[in-house]
Amino acid sequence: MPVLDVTGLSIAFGALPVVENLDLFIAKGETLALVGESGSGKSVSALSLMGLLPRGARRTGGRIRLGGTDITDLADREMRRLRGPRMGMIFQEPMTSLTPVLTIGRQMTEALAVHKGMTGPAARARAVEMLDAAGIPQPAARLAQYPHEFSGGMRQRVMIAMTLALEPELLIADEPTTALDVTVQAQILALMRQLARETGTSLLLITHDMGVVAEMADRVAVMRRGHLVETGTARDIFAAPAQGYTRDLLAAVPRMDGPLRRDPPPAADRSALAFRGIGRSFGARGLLSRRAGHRALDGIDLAVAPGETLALVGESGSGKSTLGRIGARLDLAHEGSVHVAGEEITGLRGAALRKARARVQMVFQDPFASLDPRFTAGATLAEPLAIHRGLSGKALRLAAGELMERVGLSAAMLDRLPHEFSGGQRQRIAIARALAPSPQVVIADEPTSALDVSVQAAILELLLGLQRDTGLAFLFITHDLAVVRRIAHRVAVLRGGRLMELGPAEAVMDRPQHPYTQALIAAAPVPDPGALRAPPVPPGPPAAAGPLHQTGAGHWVAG
Amino acid sequence: MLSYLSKRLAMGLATILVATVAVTLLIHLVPGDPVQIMYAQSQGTTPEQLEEIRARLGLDQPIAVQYVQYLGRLLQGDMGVTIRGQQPVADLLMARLPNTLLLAFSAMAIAVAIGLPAGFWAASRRGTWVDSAVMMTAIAGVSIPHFWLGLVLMFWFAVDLGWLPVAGGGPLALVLPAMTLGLSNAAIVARMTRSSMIDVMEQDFVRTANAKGLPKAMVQSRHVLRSGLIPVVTMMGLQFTYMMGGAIVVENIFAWNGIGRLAIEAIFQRDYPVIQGFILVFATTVVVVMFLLDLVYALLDPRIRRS
Repeated sequence: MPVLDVTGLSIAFGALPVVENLDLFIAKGETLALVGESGSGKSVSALSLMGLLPRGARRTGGRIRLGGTDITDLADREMRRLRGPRMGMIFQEPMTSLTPVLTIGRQMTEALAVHKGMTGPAARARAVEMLDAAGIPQPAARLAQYPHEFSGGMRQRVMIAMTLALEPELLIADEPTTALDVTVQAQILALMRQLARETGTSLLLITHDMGVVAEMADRVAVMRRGHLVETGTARDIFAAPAQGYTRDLLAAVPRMDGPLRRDPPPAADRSALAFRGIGRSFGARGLLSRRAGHRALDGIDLAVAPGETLALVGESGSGKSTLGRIGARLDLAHEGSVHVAGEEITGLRGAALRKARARVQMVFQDPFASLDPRFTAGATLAEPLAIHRGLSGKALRLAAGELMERVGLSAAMLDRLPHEFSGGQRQRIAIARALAPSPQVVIADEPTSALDVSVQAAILELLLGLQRDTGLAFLFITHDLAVVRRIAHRVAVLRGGRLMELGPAEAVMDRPQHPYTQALIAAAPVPDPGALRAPPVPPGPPAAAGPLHQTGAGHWVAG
Repeated sequence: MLSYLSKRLAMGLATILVATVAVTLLIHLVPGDPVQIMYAQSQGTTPEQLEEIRARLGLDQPIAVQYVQYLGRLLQGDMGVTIRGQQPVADLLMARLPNTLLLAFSAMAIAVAIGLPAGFWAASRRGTWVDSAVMMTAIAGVSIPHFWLGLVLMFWFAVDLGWLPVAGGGPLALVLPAMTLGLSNAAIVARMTRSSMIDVMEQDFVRTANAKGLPKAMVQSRHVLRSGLIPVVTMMGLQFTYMMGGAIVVENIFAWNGIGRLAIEAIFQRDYPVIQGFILVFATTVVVVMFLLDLVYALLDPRIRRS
């Protein structure tokens, strides 16, 4: 008898159907991956199983059986008795999923008291045991701490420990590692695999990441626009996808064993953008305290040539976004200088700074947040065109239309508002806006991380094309090494504000020299269920990296 | 925690210092000669007498000297004497301050006792008739001015029914002014509580609490209420300042013997030392209450307590 058996599940937001006629089952101890792009209905399906649908959404049909019991029409009070001991759920955002005003211990023991009747020392002992199993050091001492005293990865471990402490038959994990760094992701996935195996818990894993699917799933169910497209064993789905959509989805996934960028950067004796000895600290610069604060960047020397793409790789807190912002003069360095096309822009002010800014433009991660929702695409593009190129009237409209066409949209879309575009189209508008003042350098901060894989591939293609046509220099900030392979000529690996490794993409990706780069590459999930996997190696504490020394042609390693 | 509190304390003291500067400048911001204005109504003051008063108030000195002298006297608890009657201002204010504080805190208690549960109730029944009814009442409550509500309550409960005294002192006489001030603020507290709770109910951590299968009452009281109170407490600080301002109006309606009533009298009589003292006491009270609220805030939010 399956642990979970769903037949004909349909869900609607108001009158709009978002999931139609979904059938799923999960056997005991099995891991089913529910995959799909944004809007496919995978998360809302999972919430519906838990009886946690958001306001405005309701189930319009279907039956749900949990361990043989029909739970479709249970009242809220009865559902609450099942949630926890029978089925538990872990969410995407570990930073916001724990109550900030209650201690970890309180949050773990309250559910034990409600469902298992465990109180006092017994409940605390159980909580400590689970935290320990989840790999949290000194669990007894950490019970008294609050969520903000834990890192994102640690919070997700707490969530897993808290949920599995109740020994549910079914664990639903909704993008459990999407918000985490890749080295942390590898550890969390290993932890879930291990704990699920030990407790015999079945796992419903919701993800958009085919690499995660390959590492975790026994079977896969592919969803698209509220419908189940294909289902089968992980091996079959990866080896011989039956449906066109599944094939496209797999083909669009950037792979760690994919081809590297082949075209060499144009030879150049000068740099489009150069950082010299950049240092930046954060915090603790108050009137009363003179503590040094946190070193976000330390002695960074980097240069990007015209027509070249330099990928800046690192995990959260590595300082990669800060360096990007300093390059665009959106943030100031405390030490060192920034040069654009040979001219120092570090100390510029007023009109000279505005002129320099036209030459360095940024594209941001989230195209939903980076466009003004009240500005039409035309208005967004008109601002830089008027300010930096002095255009107005018909000429301006024409130039805006040309920009739209250069990014693969049409001039007819100029009067639309951001909400009338898809995520990929919005990112195209953001790119067009960056191109408007005719820059020499574009700094792109995770420009594809918020996009679905199929859209991601198209945006990368667009950026490559723009570079071929105009000789733009790209500083491409990303945490995704598979994307790096597609787009970068050279790679710089950043950790704790220092450069770990710098060199041609081929050398760094295929023959990484620094232990951290090696750990990073090993942790990246490979979309191949048959691949042999070494157990994840935690990258270790950031060592006091020495100065860079050369190990090959243009290949530099710290140590 | 300690650095947080010492920072708050320093800011409070700075605020009071700014108030002392404002108070010193106050006399000079009024157009014309303050001494002449003060004594305009009293007949037969000779120019020599005016000079003597000017010297007594220190107004013949440069402003900086006046300020330093004022501050020096203030540190010894001396706020000067009233123009009429030559009573020490400090004694006068201190005698009346407890009455105003009693009124303001009673009103605050009423506002919280009614507003908080009402707002919480509306939030947990969001979109139902309960929610609409509570919010309609709250809008009405916010819209009614103090003086009108005060008069209506007075008419019903004191004049018509005769249950409570129209004006004066004592515990029974406190009821009407406290209700007047409390009810309109209850409406504001209710609205604020509702929107804060609704915000919290949509947070990820509330979903987690529900996913753990906790009973609804436990989710609401433990996870929602406590987090939702943080912005409400912040707002209560601001609200208390309005409450002190409102107290001035209400005290005059009900002849409640607080510093607000004293201030109005002083303003009509151009009794500058009293006005100065009143502003300073008012500002200090607000600063002290804000500091107490910062303490509550720290108790509610571990992120502040542990920093």
